Order: sequence, then structure tokens, then C-alpha cells
Amino acid sequence: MSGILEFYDRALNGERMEGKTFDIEVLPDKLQELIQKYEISYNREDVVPQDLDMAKRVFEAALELVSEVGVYFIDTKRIIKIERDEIIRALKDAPASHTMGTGADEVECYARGIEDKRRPLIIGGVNGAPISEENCIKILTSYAKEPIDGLHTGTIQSLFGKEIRAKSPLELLVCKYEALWARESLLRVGKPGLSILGIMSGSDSESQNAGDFDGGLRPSDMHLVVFLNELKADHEVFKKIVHNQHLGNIIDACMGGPTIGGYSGGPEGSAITAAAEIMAAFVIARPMTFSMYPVNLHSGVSSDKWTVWMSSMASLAFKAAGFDLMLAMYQGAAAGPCTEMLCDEIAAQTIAHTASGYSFIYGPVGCSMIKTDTFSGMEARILCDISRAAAGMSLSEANEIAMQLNADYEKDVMAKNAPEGKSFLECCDEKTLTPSKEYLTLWEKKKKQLSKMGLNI
Amino acid sequence: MSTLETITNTIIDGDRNKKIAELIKEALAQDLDPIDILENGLRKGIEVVGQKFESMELFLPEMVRSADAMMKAIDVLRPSFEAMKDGSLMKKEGTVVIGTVHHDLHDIGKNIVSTFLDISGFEVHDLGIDIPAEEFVDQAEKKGANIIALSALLSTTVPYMKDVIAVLNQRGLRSKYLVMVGGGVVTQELADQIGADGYGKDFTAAVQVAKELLN
Repeated sequence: MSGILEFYDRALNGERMEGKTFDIEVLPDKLQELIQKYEISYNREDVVPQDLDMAKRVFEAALELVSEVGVYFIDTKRIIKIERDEIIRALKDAPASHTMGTGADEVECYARGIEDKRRPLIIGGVNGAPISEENCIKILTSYAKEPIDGLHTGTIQSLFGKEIRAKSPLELLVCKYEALWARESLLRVGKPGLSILGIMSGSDSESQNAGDFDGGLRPSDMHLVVFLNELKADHEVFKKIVHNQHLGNIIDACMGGPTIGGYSGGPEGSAITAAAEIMAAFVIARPMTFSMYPVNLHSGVSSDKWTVWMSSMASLAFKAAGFDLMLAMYQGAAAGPCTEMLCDEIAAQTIAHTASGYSFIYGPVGCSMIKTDTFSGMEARILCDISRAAAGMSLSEANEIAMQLNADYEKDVMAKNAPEGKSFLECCDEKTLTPSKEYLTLWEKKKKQLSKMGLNI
Repeated sequence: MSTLETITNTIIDGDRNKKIAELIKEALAQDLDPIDILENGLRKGIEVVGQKFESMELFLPEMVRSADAMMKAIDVLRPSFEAMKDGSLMKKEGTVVIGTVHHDLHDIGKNIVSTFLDISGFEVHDLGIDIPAEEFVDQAEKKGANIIALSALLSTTVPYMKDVIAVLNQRGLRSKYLVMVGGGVVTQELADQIGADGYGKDFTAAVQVAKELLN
């Protein structure tokens, strides 16, 4: 397999192109051609795709996209060309299982199939959303108390009361604190070896890599390497890959996309791009897993039906084509904590992603993942409960329930009319770090509703 | 199909055959009123594009292509307006200098807002990404802008929005410009803390806020 320096060589010597040409002409024109050629279509009704033949065609379309369009390297304005056989080899070599974490908290990760009876693993936490210095340890501890398989950190907003500026020494330092405070949160609940997913508080490779130190992240933690959408990379991405590969760290490759309504167009083009981004990341970064962070430009979140269909299709494409990859999904919602709508958004997405073979689900986080401290461990509990209940569900059953749930919230999501809900301190006891009675009562009520819909919860 | 309808449709399809400049020249050769060409040909087309984008019938690449075609067409029309000494072409909502702030490389949201402002009648000068505070102010002065629009995706780059306002204050220019902010983690609360004049939650809100600020 080609190493990172081989791909960097291509980034230095590949075809030269302006970024706008790649975004506005090359990528969308090729996607239009592929949508027609491979007959990719979305009926605008389903939430969970049903057509596995189409899923295989999405895989083929993505293969053609990566091998013909490549990955755009922003700093050199050149195309990294990737050959078809390099992609197939990388996908075959991708781990179908792996361990993360250490000691008694070590977790066996596994590639899940379509309608797999095994549950997805839950990386509970705040998905990189803004988190205050004051409440960081409390919030992360509230997640660590739940039956999660890993802990996802957030973007700390200040340190010693000082604002964090990109590229500053304080930014580098806060990344170290992010790792320290995540460790402390796990220690407080007796799960010191649980895997941590970070680093989120830094804007560049230098500060993100600074999370690796004695007492901070360990190789068995999940190290996020975020590519750029759509199908792009730069020096920062490559520096993170070099750093993590040389330390033997677990890499969680992520493409901050695709963005539905953006350069890839609607759900059909975005599904192809999503699958292509997964392929490119497995070729270039050799990660343990790939996590998708999709967003709909119009809703600002991932819970609308176009986005859920698209993200489900991206996983189905690989599973239907016979590749056992471990894929992960960032889950966001428009509504805030302690609202019925948040439960519905989490449920629809979790059911869809569980049935379509995702190995991990991250979060979940409400308020479109942009409001500080508007999350708590209770959301991870909801996610754990639903994912366990949805394991083994067929695609058609999943679609039926997800469509019912989606019908209740879709309008509010698209109109950006979701309830803000409650902040961490309003829905979680500050001392015991347990959910409020109101939140627990709400979840019991929602569980009964979900049970009536056919979820074995 | 009339020439104006052809122009409208060419804008809607993003000028895929790259013939918009020729079409405008033909329309002028037919003695069509330049104002008519602008209002009932070009603007009619770009309005349809905006509506289709909002209703998710077309997407960002198509919208950018249509906006680019519109600009090409206006370049061909400009001498006619200058000859007429008619300010109609410049009947702009206002002039905006827009960019992503220092140390932030994210541009999709900014590009959408920039394009939407453009097709909504603003004169837009998109400075790109990773723009230092001084550059925003220098360009606003140079372009005769009314509005400085700042985008940031990361919470660590939001502080650089404040720097733009600080530079405006230092140069005694704060009252001359309206400052709008938006992007990933930016909220109304943050906009207030920064001391911005307006906050656009998304691309439609950004256009609305820009119009409200100028009125």
C-alpha cells in the first residue's frame, strides 16, 4: 500500500487546478454524470434506503468518482490521483475488528453488517460542540456515567478565563487540558481505560497533536483526523496523519461532510460523495474507522430525512458491495435537551444507522451542535437504549418507524423552529451528575411511544 | 422564445453553453433597452435560481454558475449604462465586503451567503478565507462598502471577528460601516458580545439582515 509520503508526492506533482474549478465544475459535473449512469435516485419519502442494488451502484459510482476526480490538495492546488486498485486494496485491508481503550475498559470494535443483530458501539459525548471551562469535567463525567463504549470530547471555550484564539499558545495548551479533563472524567467514574475521542479544541495539527502526552491521549484512544469537504485535504490533514501513524495511534478519519445542498448537490450526489470520501480516507490515512459528519445546508443538522437517507446509503454501499469496514456516524439534532423532539430526532437517526450497518454512533448533541453546554449524559443514555433496541431490525421496519418519527419533526427542523430545550445545568443535577426527574419522566413517556411504534425498548 | 426569455433561461441553467455574453450583445444589437435586459432578462432569471435553491430544487454549484453568468452579462451591459449615464445598473442594495476571518479556512457557508447577497442585488467583494482584520477594513475603504460581513466556523476564530471591530474603532471608522457576523458556532448572543450590528443565522437571514441594516 502507498504510504502518506507517496500521496504527498502526488499532492506536489499532480494536475494543477483552481479550487473553484474543482468545486463548481469538476466535482458536480462528474456527479451528475454518475447519477445518470448508475441510476441513483431518491424518492424524497423514505428515511432508510431499501434498495441494495442501488447501494451497490452507489459504491461503483463512488469508485469511479475517486479514481477519476481524485482528492484536491488545497495548499498546492493539485489533484492527488488515486487508482482504482489502490482503493480496492485499501478497503480489503481495512480492519473489520480492532480494540480500543485499555485494561478492563478495553472494547472490541467490529464491522457491522446490514440489519446486524449486534449493537453499534456508542461513543457518548459532545461531538466537538462548544463546552465551557467551568462545566467541562462535570458534563463529560455525566456522559462517562452512562453505558458508553468511548467518550467524545468537546471544544473548550476558555482557559483560566482567557478566550482561546486559533494558532495561539493558549490554543495548544487547551488541547492538553481537553485530554486531561477527559481522562479525569473517566477516572471519576472508575473507567480510566475507556477510549477517548479527540482532540477538538485546536484548529491546526500542532495543537490537536498536542493532546498526545503522558496523562493525555494514548495510542488506544481515537485520534480524529478531519479531511475537508468535499474530497479535499491540506498540509494540516497530512501532518495529523504523519503524527498519528508514527505514534501507532488509532486514527478515526473523518470528512466534515458531505454537505447536502452544497457542492455535491442533493441526496443522490451527496451519497456518492460520502462513499467516495470514505474510500479516499481509507486509502490515504489507513484509519481504524471513518466517521461521517453530514449536514444539510438548509436544516443545519443531520436529522432531516434527506440527510438520514444519504448517510444510511453511504454505509449500505460498502456493506452491499461486500466490504467489512467500520464506519461511524456523528449524530446531531436541531432540538435541545429534555424535549420530545430531540428524542424523536435521535430515535429516527439511530434506528436508520443501526439497520444500515454503522459500527459506531457518536454523541448525540442537540441545538444543532452550536450552543455551549446544551447537552448532558442523558442524551447518550437515550442513544444507548435506542441502539440496543434497534439492533437486528430490518431496513423496511427501520424505515417504517423512522418515517413516523421524522413526520413529527421534519417541518420544524427545516424551518429551524426546533425547541432549544434545557441547558446542562437545567437538566442534570450539578452534584450527582444525574438526569433531572423531568428528563427521566420524559424519556419513560417517549419509550412507551417508541414501543407502540414497534421498537423493542 | 423571445431574446429576454432566452437570457432568463440561460441564467437559470448557469450558462452551460457559455453564450451569455453573446446573447447580451445580440439583445443590444436588437435595440432592446438595457434596463429591460437587466430587469426582465437577467434579474428575472437569478430570482428563479434563488427560489429554486431555497426550495432545494438546485444546489450550490448551479447557483454559483448562475451568479457568475449574471456578472459576465453585467460586464457586457455596463458600457451601455455608462453611455446612458444612468445609475440603474448601480441600483444596488448596497456594497458588501465579505470574508472568512483570520486563521479560519472554511468557506462553504461564506460562499453561499456571498452568492445569495450577490443575486439579491448587493455588490459583493468576496475576499476569501483567512483574512486579517486590517485587510477587511482596507478593502471596505477601497471598495466603498456599506457592510463588512465576517464568517467564522470555529469558536477559536470567533475572537478574530472582534479584531475587525477593534481596527474600525482604532481608525475612527466604526460608525461608517455596518458589521455582520455569521458561521458555524456564531449565535446572536456571540454577535452581541462581539459588538456586531447584525447576525445572519443562515443565508436567507443574512440577506434579510443586510437589507434591514441598510434601511
